Amino acid sequence: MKKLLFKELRLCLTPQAIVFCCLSSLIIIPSWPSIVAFVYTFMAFIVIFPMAIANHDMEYTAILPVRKKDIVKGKALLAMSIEIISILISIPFALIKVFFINGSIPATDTYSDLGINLVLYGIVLALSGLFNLIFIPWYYKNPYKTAKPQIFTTFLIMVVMISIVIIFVSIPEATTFVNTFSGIALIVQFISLFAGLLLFLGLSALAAYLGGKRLEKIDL
Amino acid sequence: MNKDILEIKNLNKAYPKFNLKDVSFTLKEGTICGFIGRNGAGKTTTIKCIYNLIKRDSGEILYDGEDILKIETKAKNEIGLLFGGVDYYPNQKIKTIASVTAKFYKLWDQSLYERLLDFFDLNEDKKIKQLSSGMKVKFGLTLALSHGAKVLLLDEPTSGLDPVSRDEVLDCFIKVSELKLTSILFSTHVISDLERCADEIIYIKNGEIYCQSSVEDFKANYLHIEGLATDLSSEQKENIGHLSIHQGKFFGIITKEQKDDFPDYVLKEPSLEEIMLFIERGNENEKTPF
Repeated sequence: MKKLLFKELRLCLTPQAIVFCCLSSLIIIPSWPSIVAFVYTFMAFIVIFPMAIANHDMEYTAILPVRKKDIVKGKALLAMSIEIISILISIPFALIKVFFINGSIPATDTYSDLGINLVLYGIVLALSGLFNLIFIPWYYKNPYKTAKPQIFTTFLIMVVMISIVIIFVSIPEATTFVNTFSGIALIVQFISLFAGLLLFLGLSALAAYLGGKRLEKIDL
Repeated sequence: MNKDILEIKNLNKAYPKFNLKDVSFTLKEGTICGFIGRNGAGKTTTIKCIYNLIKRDSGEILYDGEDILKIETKAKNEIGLLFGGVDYYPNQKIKTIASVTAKFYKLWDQSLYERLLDFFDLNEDKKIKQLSSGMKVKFGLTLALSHGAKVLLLDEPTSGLDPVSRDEVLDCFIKVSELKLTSILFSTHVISDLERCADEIIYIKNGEIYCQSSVEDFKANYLHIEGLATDLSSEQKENIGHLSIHQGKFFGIITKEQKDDFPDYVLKEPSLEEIMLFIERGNENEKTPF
């Protein structure tokens, strides 16, 4: 696993993908739905997977001493790494927004939003897991074509994100609740984060398993 | 007697327009085995099946007596694989790819790797796209030889190499086979390579194994025949394979059993290439698009 991740980070993680990861810093923009900053993370895969095809990455990995199905584990680990890096990059910008920017904006200039809290990060983790679960097994059905699964999965994640924003804009009480850092609300935040993390790990592991099953049937 | 390190039993793989049919052969420890046949005969498909790049329909592939799929990681650690030249990550440097590859092998020998780089005159700072096709083959061989492989599966490892480089590579094969008991299965269209270093021949034709034997036994079944074309009867002409007539002389191939039918001609040991042409083209001496 470590070797595969090393290989993916050394050979497949392109500078463009890192730029997309860094775009989660846009969470700092005042009066902007915080969750939208993470949609760019999924755009990184639009660069990584076609580049991997162009570089004959599959052919190279297949001759290494790894089981055929484990080739998918490498890519799943890369996807998870990008998603985690993106979240980590966003944290300092989120803290700056919470402590230095939000307070300086009049309440009339802001609107209900999911905000910046542990629920946000729980949802982002769960959405990342969902992306991996749909995209990775679909991609490995035919690992030489990437457009359809990428466009569909990214579009789906955008629709889910917009829906979440609409829910919180429509129900200001929900915004107030998830942005309360005490009592039962704080417990709910921690539970959301933990549930999101579990979903992220579980769905990504399932994605790697299903993708591996599909790749085993493919003739390289 | 060397043990069988690789056993292929009744390997089948069906494609819409091509089938591997009951392919069976063995590779003995420390032997160099030439895998020959025409383009599309099934050499690459067989090698890919052995390494599980292609899912076989049926049959058994045993590595050191065990089903290769059950010990896939171990087997791949001990098998070196090369398809022509390295054509992955064209924008990466040799040293980057080597450093990543080295991490995967338990028995990676950095000192041997460096010696091979030196031997093949490869510059580690060059990018893959800056290498000639021959250099790409040499780099692929360097990677395949540097991890202490017990078996090397090489698909046309000498294609694109100049005669001197080819000779160096074949020397490497002989040395690694003798000194480290490495078994080598290599497909090639440069039949003279086999005469230079192969102990055995596996001949595949239309997806089926035509024969497996030592080079000497394989050659012993055929004879090169030559003489004056005017002396040949029309019946004799029909019975000579790969017959060519030039400036009054004829050259061709006959089987050992036909020897008595041609008592007055010069009979010699044929080259492997002549035998291959005889097997593939038989007596179709007149077949030409012109």
